[in-house]
Amino acid sequence: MTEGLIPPGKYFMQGNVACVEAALIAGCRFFAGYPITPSSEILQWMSYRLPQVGGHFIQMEDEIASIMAVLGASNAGVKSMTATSGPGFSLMQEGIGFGMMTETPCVIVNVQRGGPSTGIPTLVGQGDVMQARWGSHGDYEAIVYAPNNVQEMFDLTIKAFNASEEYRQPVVLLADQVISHMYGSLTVPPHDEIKIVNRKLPCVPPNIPDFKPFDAKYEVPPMALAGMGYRVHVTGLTHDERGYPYYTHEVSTWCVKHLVSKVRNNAKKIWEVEHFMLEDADIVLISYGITSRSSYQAVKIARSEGIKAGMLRLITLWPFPDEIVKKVSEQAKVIVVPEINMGQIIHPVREVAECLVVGLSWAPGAVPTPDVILDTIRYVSR
Amino acid sequence: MVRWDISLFGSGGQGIIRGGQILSEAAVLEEGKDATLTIAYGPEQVGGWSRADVVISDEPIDFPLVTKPDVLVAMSQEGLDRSWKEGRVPKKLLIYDSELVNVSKIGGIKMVGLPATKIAEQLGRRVIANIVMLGALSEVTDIVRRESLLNVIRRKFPKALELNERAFMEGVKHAKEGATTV
Repeated sequence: MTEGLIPPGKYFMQGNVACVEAALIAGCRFFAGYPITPSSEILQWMSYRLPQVGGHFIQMEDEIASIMAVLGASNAGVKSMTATSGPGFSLMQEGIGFGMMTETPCVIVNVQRGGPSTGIPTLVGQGDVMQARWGSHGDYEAIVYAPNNVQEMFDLTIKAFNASEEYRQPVVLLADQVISHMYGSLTVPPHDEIKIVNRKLPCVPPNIPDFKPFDAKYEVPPMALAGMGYRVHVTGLTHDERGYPYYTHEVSTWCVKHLVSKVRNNAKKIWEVEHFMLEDADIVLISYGITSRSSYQAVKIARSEGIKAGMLRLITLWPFPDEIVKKVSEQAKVIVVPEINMGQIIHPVREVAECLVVGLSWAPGAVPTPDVILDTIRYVSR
Repeated sequence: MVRWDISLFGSGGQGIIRGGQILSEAAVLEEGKDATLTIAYGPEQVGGWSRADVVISDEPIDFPLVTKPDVLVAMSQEGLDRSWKEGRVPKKLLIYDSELVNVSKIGGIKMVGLPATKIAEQLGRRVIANIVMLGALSEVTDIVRRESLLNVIRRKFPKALELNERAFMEGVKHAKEGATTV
Protein backbone atom coordinates (compact mmCIF):
# COMPACT_ATOMS: atom_id res chain seq x y z
CA MET A 1 0.00 0.00 0.00
CA THR A 2 2.70 2.46 0.97
CA GLU A 3 4.96 1.60 -1.96
CA GLY A 4 5.72 4.64 -4.06
CA LEU A 5 4.14 7.06 -1.58
CA ILE A 6 6.07 9.96 -0.09
CA PRO A 7 7.91 8.69 3.01
CA PRO A 8 7.14 10.24 6.40
CA GLY A 9 9.42 13.14 7.31
CA LYS A 10 10.00 16.84 7.04
CA TYR A 11 9.88 18.53 3.64
CA PHE A 12 10.02 21.96 2.04
CA MET A 13 7.52 21.77 -0.75
CA GLN A 14 5.17 23.66 -3.04
CA GLY A 15 1.51 23.67 -1.98
CA ASN A 16 0.30 22.08 -5.21
CA VAL A 17 2.86 19.29 -4.93
CA ALA A 18 1.87 18.66 -1.30
CA CYS A 19 -1.73 18.32 -2.49
CA VAL A 20 -0.72 15.59 -4.98
CA GLU A 21 1.31 13.62 -2.43
CA ALA A 22 -1.60 13.78 0.02
CA ALA A 23 -4.07 12.60 -2.61
CA LEU A 24 -1.91 9.56 -3.33
CA ILE A 25 -1.74 8.72 0.39
CA ALA A 26 -5.54 9.15 0.59
CA GLY A 27 -5.78 6.47 -2.09
CA CYS A 28 -6.37 8.55 -5.22
CA ARG A 29 -5.46 6.45 -8.24
CA PHE A 30 -7.14 8.39 -11.06
CA PHE A 31 -6.77 11.97 -12.22
CA ALA A 32 -8.35 13.57 -15.26
CA GLY A 33 -7.78 17.24 -15.88
CA TYR A 34 -7.02 20.09 -18.20
CA PRO A 35 -4.09 22.37 -17.32
CA ILE A 36 -4.88 25.85 -16.06
CA THR A 37 -2.83 28.34 -14.07
CA PRO A 38 -2.46 28.38 -11.06
CA SER A 39 -3.40 24.71 -10.62
CA SER A 40 -1.26 23.18 -13.40
CA GLU A 41 1.47 21.82 -11.11
CA ILE A 42 -1.12 19.44 -9.64
CA LEU A 43 -1.88 18.00 -13.07
CA GLN A 44 1.79 17.93 -14.03
CA TRP A 45 2.91 16.20 -10.84
CA MET A 46 -0.01 13.75 -10.99
CA SER A 47 1.00 12.76 -14.54
CA TYR A 48 4.44 11.85 -13.17
CA ARG A 49 3.41 10.28 -9.86
CA LEU A 50 0.26 8.31 -10.63
CA PRO A 51 1.94 5.74 -12.92
CA GLN A 52 4.51 5.15 -10.15
CA VAL A 53 1.79 4.00 -7.74
CA GLY A 54 -0.24 2.01 -10.25
CA GLY A 55 -2.73 4.76 -10.98
CA HIS A 56 -3.95 6.35 -14.17
CA PHE A 57 -3.72 9.89 -15.51
CA ILE A 58 -5.57 11.36 -18.46
CA GLN A 59 -5.24 14.86 -19.86
CA MET A 60 -8.73 15.56 -21.20
CA GLU A 61 -9.92 17.88 -23.95
CA ASP A 62 -11.54 20.25 -21.46
CA GLU A 63 -12.84 20.57 -17.92
CA ILE A 64 -16.31 19.22 -18.68
CA ALA A 65 -14.78 15.96 -19.89
CA SER A 66 -12.37 15.99 -16.94
CA ILE A 67 -15.03 16.01 -14.25
CA MET A 68 -17.12 13.42 -16.10
CA ALA A 69 -14.12 11.08 -16.42
CA VAL A 70 -13.49 11.51 -12.70
CA LEU A 71 -17.11 10.62 -11.90
CA GLY A 72 -16.91 7.59 -14.18
CA ALA A 73 -13.72 6.33 -12.55
CA SER A 74 -15.23 6.80 -9.11
CA ASN A 75 -18.30 4.79 -10.09
CA ALA A 76 -15.88 2.01 -11.02
CA GLY A 77 -14.53 2.18 -7.47
CA VAL A 78 -11.35 4.23 -7.89
CA LYS A 79 -10.74 7.28 -5.73
CA SER A 80 -10.51 10.12 -8.24
CA MET A 81 -9.61 13.76 -8.42
CA THR A 82 -9.30 16.74 -10.72
CA ALA A 83 -7.79 20.19 -10.30
CA THR A 84 -8.59 23.47 -11.97
CA SER A 85 -9.07 27.21 -11.48
CA GLY A 86 -12.06 29.54 -11.84
CA PRO A 87 -12.75 29.24 -15.59
CA GLY A 88 -12.44 25.44 -15.45
CA PHE A 89 -14.49 25.29 -12.24
CA SER A 90 -17.28 27.11 -14.09
CA LEU A 91 -17.20 24.49 -16.84
CA MET A 92 -17.27 21.69 -14.28
CA GLN A 93 -20.46 22.85 -12.58
CA GLU A 94 -22.77 20.59 -14.58
CA GLY A 95 -20.62 17.57 -13.74
CA ILE A 96 -20.45 18.56 -10.08
CA GLY A 97 -24.26 18.62 -9.95
CA PHE A 98 -24.33 15.20 -11.60
CA GLY A 99 -21.88 13.95 -8.96
CA MET A 100 -24.11 15.33 -6.20
CA MET A 101 -27.26 13.74 -7.62
CA THR A 102 -25.62 10.37 -8.29
CA GLU A 103 -23.78 10.48 -4.93
CA THR A 104 -20.38 9.93 -6.49
CA PRO A 105 -17.35 10.60 -4.29
CA CYS A 106 -14.52 12.66 -5.79
CA VAL A 107 -12.30 15.61 -5.00
CA ILE A 108 -12.12 18.83 -7.01
CA VAL A 109 -9.27 21.21 -6.27
CA ASN A 110 -10.04 24.78 -7.28
CA VAL A 111 -6.99 27.02 -7.03
CA GLN A 112 -8.64 30.42 -7.10
CA ARG A 113 -7.24 33.18 -9.27
CA GLY A 114 -8.59 36.63 -10.09
CA GLY A 115 -11.95 36.68 -11.89
CA PRO A 116 -14.57 37.00 -13.27
CA SER A 117 -14.06 35.13 -16.55
CA THR A 118 -10.42 34.66 -17.58
CA GLY A 119 -9.54 37.38 -15.07
CA ILE A 120 -5.95 37.47 -13.85
CA PRO A 121 -4.56 33.99 -14.53
CA THR A 122 -1.40 34.25 -12.43
CA LEU A 123 -2.66 36.29 -9.48
CA VAL A 124 -4.70 35.56 -6.40
CA GLY A 125 -8.46 35.70 -5.85
CA GLN A 126 -11.12 34.35 -3.45
CA GLY A 127 -14.08 34.96 -5.69
CA ASP A 128 -15.33 31.36 -6.03
CA VAL A 129 -16.61 30.94 -2.48
CA MET A 130 -20.30 31.17 -3.37
CA GLN A 131 -19.81 29.22 -6.59
CA ALA A 132 -18.29 26.38 -4.57
CA ARG A 133 -21.49 26.30 -2.52
CA TRP A 134 -24.16 26.62 -5.16
CA GLY A 135 -22.42 26.75 -8.53
CA SER A 136 -24.49 23.94 -10.00
CA HIS A 137 -28.26 24.18 -10.26
CA GLY A 138 -30.63 22.59 -7.80
CA ASP A 139 -30.29 21.86 -4.10
CA TYR A 140 -27.25 20.18 -2.63
CA GLU A 141 -25.07 20.78 0.39
CA ALA A 142 -21.45 21.37 -0.57
CA ILE A 143 -18.43 20.37 1.52
CA VAL A 144 -15.59 22.85 0.96
CA TYR A 145 -12.24 23.24 2.74
CA ALA A 146 -9.98 26.32 2.55
CA PRO A 147 -6.27 25.67 3.30
CA ASN A 148 -4.01 28.49 4.51
CA ASN A 149 -0.56 26.88 4.31
CA VAL A 150 1.34 24.05 2.62
CA GLN A 151 0.69 21.69 5.53
CA GLU A 152 -3.05 22.19 5.08
CA MET A 153 -2.78 21.67 1.32
CA PHE A 154 -1.66 18.21 2.43
CA ASP A 155 -3.91 17.60 5.44
CA LEU A 156 -7.11 18.99 3.92
CA THR A 157 -6.64 17.07 0.67
CA ILE A 158 -6.77 13.89 2.73
CA LYS A 159 -9.77 15.21 4.67
CA ALA A 160 -11.50 16.12 1.40
CA PHE A 161 -11.09 12.54 0.17
CA ASN A 162 -12.29 11.18 3.50
CA ALA A 163 -15.38 13.42 3.51
CA SER A 164 -16.16 12.55 -0.12
CA GLU A 165 -16.00 8.83 0.69
CA GLU A 166 -17.93 9.18 3.94
CA TYR A 167 -20.78 11.27 2.51
CA ARG A 168 -20.62 9.97 -1.07
CA GLN A 169 -20.37 13.28 -2.88
CA PRO A 170 -17.90 15.61 -4.64
CA VAL A 171 -15.85 17.65 -2.15
CA VAL A 172 -13.98 20.85 -3.04
CA LEU A 173 -10.55 21.91 -1.81
CA LEU A 174 -10.80 25.67 -2.34
CA ALA A 175 -7.21 26.87 -2.44
CA ASP A 176 -5.85 30.12 -3.84
CA GLN A 177 -2.92 31.09 -6.05
CA VAL A 178 -0.61 32.11 -3.21
CA ILE A 179 -1.15 29.06 -1.00
CA SER A 180 -0.83 26.72 -4.00
CA HIS A 181 2.28 28.26 -5.51
CA MET A 182 3.99 28.98 -2.21
CA TYR A 183 6.70 26.67 -0.93
CA GLY A 184 6.56 25.96 2.79
CA SER A 185 7.37 23.39 5.41
CA LEU A 186 5.48 20.11 5.43
CA THR A 187 5.55 17.24 7.89
CA VAL A 188 4.35 13.93 6.50
CA PRO A 189 3.29 11.76 9.45
CA PRO A 190 3.80 7.98 9.55
CA HIS A 191 1.28 6.61 7.07
CA ASP A 192 -0.40 4.34 9.61
CA GLU A 193 -1.24 7.41 11.71
CA ILE A 194 -3.16 9.03 8.84
CA LYS A 195 -6.89 8.40 8.96
CA ILE A 196 -8.17 7.12 5.63
CA VAL A 197 -11.89 6.63 4.98
CA ASN A 198 -13.14 4.30 2.26
CA ARG A 199 -16.69 4.20 0.93
CA LYS A 200 -18.95 1.49 2.25
CA LEU A 201 -19.85 -1.26 -0.20
CA PRO A 202 -23.12 -3.23 -0.20
CA CYS A 203 -23.16 -6.06 2.31
CA VAL A 204 -25.74 -8.08 0.37
CA PRO A 205 -24.85 -10.27 -2.63
CA PRO A 206 -25.42 -8.77 -6.11
CA ASN A 207 -28.10 -11.24 -7.13
CA ILE A 208 -30.71 -10.59 -4.45
CA PRO A 209 -34.08 -9.49 -5.81
CA ASP A 210 -35.24 -5.91 -5.10
CA PHE A 211 -31.72 -4.63 -4.41
CA LYS A 212 -31.97 -0.91 -3.69
CA PRO A 213 -28.72 0.97 -4.43
CA PHE A 214 -30.09 4.12 -2.77
CA ASP A 215 -31.83 2.34 0.09
CA ALA A 216 -33.58 4.94 2.30
CA LYS A 217 -32.69 3.08 5.47
CA TYR A 218 -29.14 4.40 5.16
CA GLU A 219 -28.12 8.01 5.79
CA VAL A 220 -25.36 7.40 3.24
CA PRO A 221 -26.13 4.32 1.14
CA PRO A 222 -23.34 1.79 0.48
CA MET A 223 -22.08 2.24 -3.08
CA ALA A 224 -22.65 -0.55 -5.61
CA LEU A 225 -19.79 -0.18 -8.05
CA ALA A 226 -19.86 -0.80 -11.77
CA GLY A 227 -18.60 -4.29 -12.44
CA MET A 228 -19.57 -5.82 -9.10
CA GLY A 229 -22.63 -7.42 -10.61
CA TYR A 230 -25.33 -5.27 -9.04
CA ARG A 231 -28.04 -3.90 -11.30
CA VAL A 232 -27.46 -0.18 -10.79
CA HIS A 233 -29.06 2.70 -12.59
CA VAL A 234 -27.00 5.89 -12.24
CA THR A 235 -28.93 8.95 -13.36
CA GLY A 236 -29.00 12.70 -12.87
CA LEU A 237 -32.79 12.52 -12.94
CA THR A 238 -34.70 12.60 -9.68
CA HIS A 239 -34.75 8.93 -8.67
CA ASP A 240 -36.16 6.57 -6.10
CA GLU A 241 -34.34 4.09 -3.89
CA ARG A 242 -33.83 1.78 -6.86
CA GLY A 243 -32.11 4.61 -8.75
CA TYR A 244 -34.89 4.74 -11.34
CA PRO A 245 -36.22 8.11 -12.56
CA TYR A 246 -39.45 8.93 -10.76
CA TYR A 247 -41.15 12.24 -11.22
CA THR A 248 -43.36 12.91 -8.24
CA HIS A 249 -43.14 15.49 -5.52
CA GLU A 250 -43.06 12.67 -2.98
CA VAL A 251 -39.97 11.03 -4.47
CA SER A 252 -38.36 14.41 -5.06
CA THR A 253 -38.96 15.29 -1.40
CA TRP A 254 -37.15 12.13 -0.31
CA CYS A 255 -34.36 12.44 -2.89
CA VAL A 256 -33.46 16.10 -2.36
CA LYS A 257 -33.87 16.02 1.42
CA HIS A 258 -31.65 12.95 1.52
CA LEU A 259 -28.92 14.79 -0.44
CA VAL A 260 -28.84 17.80 1.87
CA SER A 261 -29.57 15.98 5.15
CA LYS A 262 -26.60 13.65 4.98
CA VAL A 263 -24.37 16.74 5.21
CA ARG A 264 -26.56 18.97 7.40
CA ASN A 265 -27.05 16.25 10.02
CA ASN A 266 -23.29 15.77 10.23
CA ALA A 267 -22.24 19.42 9.85
CA LYS A 268 -20.72 19.59 13.33
CA LYS A 269 -18.44 16.69 12.48
CA ILE A 270 -17.35 18.42 9.27
CA TRP A 271 -16.81 21.91 10.71
CA GLU A 272 -13.24 22.89 11.34
CA VAL A 273 -12.23 26.32 12.58
CA GLU A 274 -9.25 27.89 14.30
CA HIS A 275 -9.76 30.21 17.29
CA PHE A 276 -6.98 32.80 17.36
CA MET A 277 -6.77 35.20 20.34
CA LEU A 278 -10.55 35.13 20.67
CA GLU A 279 -10.89 34.69 24.46
CA ASP A 280 -11.64 38.33 25.25
CA ALA A 281 -11.85 39.73 21.70
CA ASP A 282 -14.42 42.38 20.95
CA ILE A 283 -13.22 42.93 17.38
CA VAL A 284 -13.28 39.62 15.54
CA LEU A 285 -11.91 38.94 12.07
CA ILE A 286 -13.56 36.11 10.20
CA SER A 287 -10.97 35.00 7.69
CA TYR A 288 -9.94 32.06 5.52
CA GLY A 289 -7.26 31.01 3.04
CA ILE A 290 -4.39 33.37 2.27
CA THR A 291 -6.24 36.35 3.76
CA SER A 292 -6.08 34.71 7.19
CA ARG A 293 -2.29 34.85 7.02
CA SER A 294 -2.51 38.66 6.95
CA SER A 295 -5.14 38.54 9.68
CA TYR A 296 -2.87 36.75 12.17
CA GLN A 297 -0.35 39.55 11.95
CA ALA A 298 -2.97 42.33 11.97
CA VAL A 299 -4.46 40.85 15.17
CA LYS A 300 -1.05 40.65 16.86
CA ILE A 301 -0.21 44.27 16.03
CA ALA A 302 -3.67 45.43 17.13
CA ARG A 303 -3.16 43.59 20.45
CA SER A 304 0.17 45.39 20.90
CA GLU A 305 -1.75 48.66 20.53
CA GLY A 306 -4.21 47.62 23.21
CA ILE A 307 -7.05 46.70 20.87
CA LYS A 308 -8.80 43.48 21.85
CA ALA A 309 -8.75 41.84 18.43
CA GLY A 310 -9.01 38.16 17.50
CA MET A 311 -9.72 35.91 14.57
CA LEU A 312 -12.03 33.04 13.80
CA ARG A 313 -10.46 31.21 10.86
CA LEU A 314 -12.80 29.14 8.76
CA ILE A 315 -11.15 25.92 7.61
CA THR A 316 -14.50 24.48 6.55
CA LEU A 317 -16.29 27.09 4.46
CA TRP A 318 -19.27 24.87 3.63
CA PRO A 319 -21.32 23.61 5.34
CA PHE A 320 -21.07 27.02 6.98
CA PRO A 321 -20.19 26.75 10.69
CA ASP A 322 -23.12 28.98 11.64
CA GLU A 323 -23.40 28.00 15.32
CA ILE A 324 -19.72 28.71 15.90
CA VAL A 325 -19.94 32.10 14.19
CA LYS A 326 -23.07 32.96 16.16
CA LYS A 327 -21.39 32.09 19.44
CA VAL A 328 -18.33 34.21 18.62
CA SER A 329 -20.58 37.12 17.61
CA GLU A 330 -22.36 37.07 20.97
CA GLN A 331 -19.27 38.38 22.76
CA ALA A 332 -17.96 40.56 19.90
CA LYS A 333 -18.75 44.21 19.27
CA VAL A 334 -17.79 44.15 15.59
CA ILE A 335 -16.99 41.37 13.13
CA VAL A 336 -14.74 42.27 10.19
CA VAL A 337 -14.71 39.97 7.17
CA PRO A 338 -11.68 40.52 4.93
CA GLU A 339 -11.83 38.55 1.68
CA ILE A 340 -10.38 38.87 -1.83
CA ASN A 341 -13.78 39.39 -3.42
CA MET A 342 -16.53 41.94 -3.25
CA GLY A 343 -18.24 40.28 -0.28
CA GLN A 344 -19.17 36.57 -0.27
CA ILE A 345 -18.69 34.72 3.05
CA ILE A 346 -19.89 37.93 4.72
CA HIS A 347 -23.46 36.97 3.77
CA PRO A 348 -23.84 33.82 5.87
CA VAL A 349 -21.93 35.63 8.62
CA ARG A 350 -24.53 38.41 8.59
CA GLU A 351 -27.27 35.80 8.58
CA VAL A 352 -26.33 34.59 12.06
CA ALA A 353 -24.24 37.34 13.67
CA GLU A 354 -25.58 39.11 16.74
CA CYS A 355 -23.29 42.11 16.25
CA LEU A 356 -22.29 44.62 13.58
CA VAL A 357 -20.60 42.96 10.57
CA VAL A 358 -18.23 44.98 8.39
CA GLY A 359 -16.78 43.76 5.09
CA LEU A 360 -13.28 44.42 3.84
CA SER A 361 -13.73 43.76 0.15
CA TRP A 362 -10.45 43.52 -1.69
CA ALA A 363 -10.23 43.20 -5.45
CA PRO A 364 -8.32 40.21 -6.85
CA GLY A 365 -4.70 40.50 -7.97
CA ALA A 366 -3.05 40.99 -4.58
CA VAL A 367 -3.38 39.88 -0.98
CA PRO A 368 -4.57 42.54 1.47
CA THR A 369 -1.47 43.11 3.61
CA PRO A 370 -1.61 43.06 7.42
CA ASP A 371 -1.49 46.89 7.32
CA VAL A 372 -4.69 47.07 5.30
CA ILE A 373 -6.56 44.83 7.73
CA LEU A 374 -5.03 46.63 10.70
CA ASP A 375 -6.34 49.97 9.40
CA THR A 376 -9.85 48.53 9.38
CA ILE A 377 -9.44 47.11 12.89
CA ARG A 378 -8.26 50.50 14.13
CA TYR A 379 -11.16 52.24 12.40
CA VAL A 380 -13.89 50.02 13.86
CA SER A 381 -12.30 50.07 17.32
CA ARG A 382 -12.87 53.81 17.67
CA MET B 1 10.85 36.65 17.11
CA VAL B 2 13.48 37.11 14.42
CA ARG B 3 12.03 37.42 10.95
CA TRP B 4 14.06 37.93 7.80
CA ASP B 5 12.52 39.01 4.51
CA ILE B 6 14.91 38.32 1.64
CA SER B 7 14.39 39.04 -2.02
CA LEU B 8 16.55 37.49 -4.74
CA PHE B 9 16.01 39.37 -7.98
CA GLY B 10 17.59 38.72 -11.36
CA SER B 11 16.87 37.16 -14.74
CA GLY B 12 15.45 33.82 -15.80
CA GLY B 13 18.31 31.32 -16.14
CA GLN B 14 20.41 32.76 -13.31
CA GLY B 15 19.13 30.26 -10.77
CA ILE B 16 17.25 32.86 -8.77
CA ILE B 17 14.46 30.51 -7.73
CA ARG B 18 16.85 27.65 -7.04
CA GLY B 19 18.83 30.05 -4.84
CA GLY B 20 15.66 30.85 -2.92
CA GLN B 21 14.92 27.15 -2.51
CA ILE B 22 18.38 26.42 -1.11
CA LEU B 23 18.12 29.31 1.35
CA SER B 24 14.64 28.26 2.55
CA GLU B 25 15.50 24.58 2.81
CA ALA B 26 18.57 25.43 4.88
CA ALA B 27 16.27 27.20 7.34
CA VAL B 28 13.54 24.54 7.44
CA LEU B 29 15.36 21.24 7.01
CA GLU B 30 18.71 22.07 8.64
CA GLU B 31 17.75 24.50 11.39
CA GLY B 32 14.13 23.69 12.17
CA LYS B 33 12.95 27.21 11.43
CA ASP B 34 9.90 28.17 9.43
CA ALA B 35 10.29 29.52 5.90
CA THR B 36 8.14 30.42 2.94
CA LEU B 37 9.20 30.91 -0.65
CA THR B 38 7.10 32.75 -3.19
CA ILE B 39 8.18 33.32 -6.74
CA ALA B 40 7.35 35.81 -9.44
CA TYR B 41 8.60 36.15 -12.96
CA GLY B 42 8.00 37.92 -16.24
CA PRO B 43 6.34 36.24 -19.23
CA GLU B 44 9.64 35.27 -20.91
CA GLN B 45 11.12 31.85 -20.20
CA VAL B 46 14.78 32.91 -20.23
CA GLY B 47 16.12 36.43 -19.88
CA GLY B 48 12.98 37.94 -18.38
CA TRP B 49 12.92 39.10 -14.78
CA SER B 50 12.73 36.51 -12.05
CA ARG B 51 12.28 36.99 -8.31
CA ALA B 52 12.36 34.68 -5.31
CA ASP B 53 10.98 36.05 -2.03
CA VAL B 54 12.01 34.17 1.06
CA VAL B 55 10.73 34.67 4.59
CA ILE B 56 12.66 32.95 7.39
CA SER B 57 11.59 33.04 11.00
CA ASP B 58 12.32 31.15 14.20
CA GLU B 59 8.56 31.11 14.86
CA PRO B 60 5.68 30.09 12.56
CA ILE B 61 5.29 32.71 9.85
CA ASP B 62 2.06 34.69 9.80
CA PHE B 63 2.20 36.73 6.61
CA PRO B 64 4.22 34.74 4.05
CA LEU B 65 4.83 37.44 1.43
CA VAL B 66 7.68 39.95 1.18
CA THR B 67 6.48 43.52 0.78
CA LYS B 68 9.71 45.23 1.83
CA PRO B 69 12.81 43.04 2.06
CA ASP B 70 15.48 43.30 4.73
CA VAL B 71 17.99 42.01 2.22
CA LEU B 72 17.92 42.34 -1.56
CA VAL B 73 20.22 40.20 -3.69
CA ALA B 74 20.27 41.91 -7.10
CA MET B 75 21.72 39.88 -9.95
CA SER B 76 20.54 42.08 -12.82
CA GLN B 77 20.04 45.78 -13.46
CA GLU B 78 16.33 45.16 -14.00
CA GLY B 79 16.18 43.41 -10.66
CA LEU B 80 17.56 46.47 -8.92
CA ASP B 81 15.53 48.98 -10.93
CA ARG B 82 12.25 47.13 -10.48
CA SER B 83 12.81 46.79 -6.75
CA TRP B 84 13.29 50.53 -6.37
CA LYS B 85 10.43 51.39 -8.72
CA GLU B 86 8.04 49.10 -6.80
CA GLY B 87 9.09 50.49 -3.43
CA ARG B 88 10.80 47.25 -2.46
CA VAL B 89 13.96 49.02 -1.28
CA PRO B 90 15.92 46.81 1.14
CA LYS B 91 15.86 47.93 4.76
CA LYS B 92 19.22 46.51 5.80
CA LEU B 93 21.42 45.31 2.99
CA LEU B 94 21.92 45.20 -0.77
CA ILE B 95 24.10 42.46 -2.24
CA TYR B 96 24.68 42.89 -5.99
CA ASP B 97 26.59 41.51 -8.91
CA SER B 98 29.15 44.28 -9.41
CA GLU B 99 29.67 43.48 -13.10
CA LEU B 100 25.99 43.47 -14.00
CA VAL B 101 24.40 46.02 -11.68
CA ASN B 102 25.17 49.72 -11.54
CA VAL B 103 24.59 51.06 -8.04
CA SER B 104 26.01 54.54 -8.57
CA LYS B 105 22.62 56.13 -7.87
CA ILE B 106 21.97 54.11 -4.72
CA GLY B 107 22.87 55.38 -1.29
CA GLY B 108 22.01 55.25 2.36
CA ILE B 109 22.20 51.50 2.86
CA LYS B 110 24.86 48.89 3.41
CA MET B 111 25.98 47.42 0.11
CA VAL B 112 28.11 44.45 -0.81
CA GLY B 113 29.20 44.03 -4.42
CA LEU B 114 30.93 41.07 -5.95
CA PRO B 115 31.30 39.86 -9.55
CA ALA B 116 29.36 36.65 -8.93
CA THR B 117 28.66 35.84 -12.58
CA LYS B 118 32.26 36.48 -13.59
CA ILE B 119 33.51 34.29 -10.73
CA ALA B 120 31.13 31.54 -11.84
CA GLU B 121 32.37 31.84 -15.44
CA GLN B 122 35.96 31.56 -14.26
CA LEU B 123 35.04 28.39 -12.42
CA GLY B 124 33.67 27.11 -15.72
CA ARG B 125 29.89 27.27 -15.11
CA ARG B 126 28.00 30.54 -15.43
CA VAL B 127 24.91 28.95 -13.87
CA ILE B 128 26.49 28.66 -10.44
CA ALA B 129 26.55 32.43 -9.89
CA ASN B 130 23.60 31.90 -7.53
CA ILE B 131 25.76 29.66 -5.34
CA VAL B 132 28.47 32.34 -5.27
CA MET B 133 25.82 34.80 -4.08
CA LEU B 134 24.63 32.44 -1.34
CA GLY B 135 28.23 32.22 -0.13
CA ALA B 136 28.36 36.01 0.02
CA LEU B 137 25.02 36.12 1.84
CA SER B 138 26.34 33.69 4.45
CA GLU B 139 29.36 35.92 5.05
CA VAL B 140 27.55 39.20 5.60
CA THR B 141 24.36 38.00 7.36
CA ASP B 142 23.50 35.42 10.01
CA ILE B 143 20.13 34.45 8.53
CA VAL B 144 21.15 30.79 8.39
CA ARG B 145 24.41 29.05 9.26
CA ARG B 146 26.98 28.56 6.52
CA GLU B 147 27.07 24.83 7.18
CA SER B 148 23.29 24.62 6.72
CA LEU B 149 23.52 26.13 3.25
CA LEU B 150 26.42 23.88 2.33
CA ASN B 151 24.52 20.80 3.53
CA VAL B 152 21.57 21.63 1.27
CA ILE B 153 23.89 22.34 -1.67
CA ARG B 154 25.68 19.02 -1.14
CA ARG B 155 22.38 17.19 -1.07
CA LYS B 156 21.04 18.93 -4.16
CA PHE B 157 24.15 18.68 -6.35
CA PRO B 158 25.95 15.45 -5.45
CA LYS B 159 27.47 15.19 -8.93
CA ALA B 160 28.97 18.69 -8.93
CA LEU B 161 29.82 18.84 -5.27
CA GLU B 162 33.33 20.22 -5.43
CA LEU B 163 32.48 22.87 -8.01
CA ASN B 164 29.54 24.15 -5.99
CA GLU B 165 31.52 24.21 -2.76
CA ARG B 166 34.25 26.19 -4.49
CA ALA B 167 31.73 28.64 -5.92
CA PHE B 168 30.21 29.08 -2.48
CA MET B 169 33.58 29.73 -0.82
CA GLU B 170 34.55 32.19 -3.56
CA GLY B 171 31.41 34.11 -2.64
CA VAL B 172 32.44 34.09 1.00
CA LYS B 173 35.90 35.37 0.14
CA HIS B 174 34.75 38.18 -2.12
CA ALA B 175 32.08 39.33 0.32
CA LYS B 176 34.78 39.70 2.97
CA GLU B 177 36.67 42.02 0.66
CA GLY B 178 33.77 43.75 -1.07
CA ALA B 179 31.68 45.20 1.75
CA THR B 180 31.10 48.90 1.26
CA THR B 181 28.90 50.95 3.51
CA VAL B 182 27.61 54.14 1.91
